[in-house]
Amino acid sequence: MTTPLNLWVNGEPVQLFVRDDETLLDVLRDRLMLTGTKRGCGEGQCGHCTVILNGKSVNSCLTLALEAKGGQVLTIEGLSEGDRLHPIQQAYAEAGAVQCGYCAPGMIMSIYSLLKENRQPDEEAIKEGIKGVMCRCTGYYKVIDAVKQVISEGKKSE
Amino acid sequence: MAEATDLLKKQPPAEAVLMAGGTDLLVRERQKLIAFRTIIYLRSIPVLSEIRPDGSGGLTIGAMASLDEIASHPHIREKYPLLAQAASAVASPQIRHKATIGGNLCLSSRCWFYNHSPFWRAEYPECRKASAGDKCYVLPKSRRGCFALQSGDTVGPLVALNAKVKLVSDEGERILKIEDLYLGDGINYLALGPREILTEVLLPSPSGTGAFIKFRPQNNLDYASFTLSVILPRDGAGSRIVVGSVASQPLRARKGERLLDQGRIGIEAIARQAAEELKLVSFVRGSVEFKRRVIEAKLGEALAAFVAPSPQD
Repeated sequence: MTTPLNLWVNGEPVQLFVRDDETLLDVLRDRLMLTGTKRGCGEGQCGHCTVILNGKSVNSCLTLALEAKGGQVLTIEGLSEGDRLHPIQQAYAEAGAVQCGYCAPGMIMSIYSLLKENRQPDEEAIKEGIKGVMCRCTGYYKVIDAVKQVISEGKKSE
Repeated sequence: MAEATDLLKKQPPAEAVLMAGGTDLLVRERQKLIAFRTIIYLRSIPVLSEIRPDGSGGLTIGAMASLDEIASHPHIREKYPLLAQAASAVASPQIRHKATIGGNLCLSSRCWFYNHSPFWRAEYPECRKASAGDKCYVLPKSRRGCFALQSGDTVGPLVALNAKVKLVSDEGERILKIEDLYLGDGINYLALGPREILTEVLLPSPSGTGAFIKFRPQNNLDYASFTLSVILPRDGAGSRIVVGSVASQPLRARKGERLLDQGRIGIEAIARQAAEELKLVSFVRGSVEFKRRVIEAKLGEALAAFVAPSPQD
């Protein structure tokens, strides 16, 4: 059985029919071909499928597509403006926080959500904010450096 | 709400499930621990997410309020810090944005031998909870029963805070003390009837100071090895020491509570008494002896933070 679903993805209206058991991750990757969002454990532990739904980070593998009905979804593809990287992406590249890169989309969306809720997190708050994404390469310190860089650049531009 | 209870009534039992945040339900579905044909999605009922004063100094929390909303709610942080801390200790921000307090209270009991993929479980084919077998791999000598653990982090604090829950069905509603929601068996762990929906958590006005500790081997997304929730009322009597995630129901250390009420002996003796009276089982997350010692130590720390030392100390 399929059900009509209307939602906004990266600012664009999307209309499609989904199966009731399809997840938001399935829709993003397999229907809309937005493969920036990665599939990992499928159990909410690795966080690689993190996207922003109605302003909050969620595991898209644990979100049924129909839960996003009428909602606003932001994925890694919606973060940059054309060729201009988002400040988090820029800092990420400069800090060397990308190694294999598989966790980067989920990690960057988690940082986006963290900085939206708390503009100046201390180190503990940063660790808590990125806790939901597993990275097996960096040991997390480069990622934390990247977040600190975003914060200090945010201060400069104020 | 009426539509939800009506739907639940009309569905054949075992075919319909109630879904809140879905962060545990969908995992169990993928692990083939649960099968269903219909989902009744409770988060689409806006009134269930409300957090509002009850008019007599307490607070009513809708069961679909997310753990993130509870952890960051200014009134809860100020008046019921134990609950805010417990909510913020659950898993990751992503999970807390979706997971709800109602879901956390009704969270399926968990066990190392049960919450895994079918492939993994094939090694333990006689588990009473996973199949119709008659063995418990936690306590192989047990004749009956299941020792899967109550694992919601917010349960302990709500017992300590003397909270109640409202259960609604097509036939009416009833109010239950939160302790009475847990039946003490890993399979049949909740007093929630098949046609009932947990709609509200009712908190009385705060009675004193308290502390919450979640102990886990690493500060990661993991479930607790145990949680400790302590309340010391302003007017003496009615202390609570609640240990969560060590049995199929939250445990109260009643002798320890009485000693705390009397206030005559030292913190260390109270912590020792409380840790000793608990009925624990050895689990992958710790042997009985290990848990008892860590509970004693952590309880001592928690009490020291807000109990004035007595002369014996």
